[in-house]
Amino acid sequence: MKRFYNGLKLGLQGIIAKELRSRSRGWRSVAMLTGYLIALALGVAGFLALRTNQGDATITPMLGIQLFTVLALGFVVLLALVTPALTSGSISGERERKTLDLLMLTQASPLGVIIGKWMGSVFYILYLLAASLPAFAVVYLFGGVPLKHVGMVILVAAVTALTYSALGLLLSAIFKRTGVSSLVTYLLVFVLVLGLPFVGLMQASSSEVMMKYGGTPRLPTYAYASPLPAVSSVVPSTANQYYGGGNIIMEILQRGLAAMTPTSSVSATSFMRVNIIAQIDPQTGQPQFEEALAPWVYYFLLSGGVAVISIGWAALAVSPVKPLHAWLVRRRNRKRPVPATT
Amino acid sequence: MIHTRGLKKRYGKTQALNGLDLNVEQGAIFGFIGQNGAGKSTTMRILATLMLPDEGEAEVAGVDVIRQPGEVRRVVGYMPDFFGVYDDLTVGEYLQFYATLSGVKGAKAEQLRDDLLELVDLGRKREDFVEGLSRGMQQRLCLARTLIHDPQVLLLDEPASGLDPVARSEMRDLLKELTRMGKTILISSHILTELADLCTHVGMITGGRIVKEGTVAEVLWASTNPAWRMRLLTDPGGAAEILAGLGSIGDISVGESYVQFRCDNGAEGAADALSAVVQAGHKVSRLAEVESSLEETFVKLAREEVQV
Repeated sequence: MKRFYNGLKLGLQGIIAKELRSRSRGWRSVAMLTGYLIALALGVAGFLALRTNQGDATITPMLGIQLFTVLALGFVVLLALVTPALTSGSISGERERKTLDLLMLTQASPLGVIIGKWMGSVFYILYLLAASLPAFAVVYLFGGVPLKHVGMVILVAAVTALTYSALGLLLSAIFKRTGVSSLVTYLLVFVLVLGLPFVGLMQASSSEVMMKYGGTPRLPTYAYASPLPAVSSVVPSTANQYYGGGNIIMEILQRGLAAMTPTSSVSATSFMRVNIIAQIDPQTGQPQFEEALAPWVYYFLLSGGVAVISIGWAALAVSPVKPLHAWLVRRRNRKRPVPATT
Repeated sequence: MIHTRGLKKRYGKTQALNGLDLNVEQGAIFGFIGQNGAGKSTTMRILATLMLPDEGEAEVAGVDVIRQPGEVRRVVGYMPDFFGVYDDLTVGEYLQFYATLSGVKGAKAEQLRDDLLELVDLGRKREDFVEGLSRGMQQRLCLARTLIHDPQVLLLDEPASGLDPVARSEMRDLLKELTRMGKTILISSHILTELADLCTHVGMITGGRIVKEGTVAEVLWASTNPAWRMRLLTDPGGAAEILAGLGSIGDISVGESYVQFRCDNGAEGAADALSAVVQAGHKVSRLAEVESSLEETFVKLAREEVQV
C-alpha cells in the first residue's frame, strides 16, 4: 500500500510540474486558448445576430435564457472537441519521442504517470473554463438565469472535459501513433456527443408514450452518456419554450434541445429527480408516472465510470510488466526443471 | 550482481533469446557483444524490467526481475540505444524532472543534479534547452539521468552509437570514471575495439544465447587458434613451401619478409614449423603469435555458430 501511494505521489508531483511547464512554453497553448475564445465569442455574437435579424429587434425577457442555453450547449460541445486534443497525444507522443520507457523506469507508478498526465491537462482545462466565464457574464446583461444553473452548466462542462481527456489518454496509451489515437478519439467523441442521443431518440420515438402523447419519453440510459441531455436538463426549463421564430437554425436547435429533455411527458420534482411516464395504464389509458434521476445525474455517473475505467486501463496499457503476464512466467518457471548449479 | 538462467523470449516467429545464461560479477564492466538481432537489447530490457521473458529467471543485485520489478528499478540505471529527450525543458529541468520521479527531493536533488552535470561535463549548459545540445551532449545527459538515483548497476545499450571519435573518447573516459565509483556496468557496443579497452569481462551472444563468457584475455585465448608470423631474412616463399609440406600447418600466407600460418596443435606445432624451416637452410629472425582482436574472435565464433 505504501509503495502504491509512493508511486502515485511521485508520478503526480513530477508529471504535473513538467506538464504545466511544457504547456506554458511554446505557441500551441496560446493558439489553442485564442482559438477557443474566438469560437466562443463567435457563438455568442452569432446567436445574437440571428436572434435580432428576425425582423423583430425587440429584446424579449426570454433572450437571456435563450442565449444562456445556446452558450451552454456551444461551451460543452467546444470543450468536448478541445480536451481530447490535450491528451490524445500524451502517451503516444512519449512513445514516439522514445521517452516512455524512461518514465517507466522511475519509481513513479504507471498509474501515477497517467493520473499526472491527466491532471496536467485538467489544470489547463480549468484555465480554459476560467477564460470562458466572461462569455457567461454576457448572459447577465439580459438576466433571467439563476446562478445555480450557471454553476451546473460549468459542472457539466467540467465533467465532459475530464471524461473526454481521460478517454483521449486511454486511446493515446493503446495506439502507438498520435495520428491514429487522435482520429479514433474524435470518432469516439462524435459518437458519444451526437451519435448516442440520436440513436436514443430514434429508439424512443417509436414508444407508446410518444405515439399517444406526442411528448418525448425517457431516453434509453446509454443516451445519457452524451453531454447534450445533461446540458438540456440543467438549463432553466423555460428555455425549452419554442423560440424558433421562423429561423431554421434556431428551430433545429430548439427542437433538438426539447427532444433531449422529456419536457412534455415529465416534470421535475427536485433538482436531481424528475417524474417520468413509466407506462400507459391498459385499463384507463392514462399515463403512470414514476420518479427517476435527472439526465445530468445519469451523465455524471456514466462519465465518472468512463473516466475511471479509462485511467485504469491506460495505466495497465503503459505498464511494461503486466501482472497476468508476470504470473504466467512465474508459473512456467515453476514447472521448469531446476538447472544444475555450476 | 547480474544473473540470468535460461532466459527465453520470442517475438512472433523469431526466437530472440534461447536459454540465455549470464553472470556478471560486482564491479565488473561486462561487454555484451553480438550481431544485430542477437538478443542484446532484449536481455537489457528484461534486466531493466521493461519487458518480461517468456521463460527463465533473472536477478539484479539479488532482486528478482520478474517478482520485484519496482525494487530492481531502484538498483538499475538503464540507457537505451535509442532514447528521447524533452525539447521544451532545460538541461537542469530535465534532470530535476527525473530526480522527482525517482524520489530524490529538495536540496539533495539539486546537489545531485549539479554534481552529475559536472561529471558529464555539462555544468555550463544547465540553463540551455535540451534541443540545443549536440548528439554527444545528449548522450552524456542521458547517462547523467541514468545515474540520478545512484544505481549500483548500469545497463548501457550502445552508449557510444552515433558519436564522433572525440565524443566516443569522452564517453569512454566517463565510463571508466563510473567504474572507479564502484558501479557494475553491462555495456553493449558494436565498436569492439572500445569494449576490449574498457571491459574487464565480455560475453558473446549469438542466436539468443551466450556462446563465450569470461575475462577479455580468457575469451581471446580460448576462442582462437592464433596465427603465427615467421620473419625471415631469406625467401619467405620457399619457407611457405616447406610449411605447406607439413601436415599440421594451414592457412598459410606470404608477405614481403614473412610467412604467416596457423597450427593445429598450437605452440608445439609452431616449434615444429620453425625447426623444419631452419633445417631447410632458411634464416629466421623472429617467430611470434599474432594477437587476436575481439572483433576477429567474435566473427570467428559467429561463423562457427552459423555452421553449427
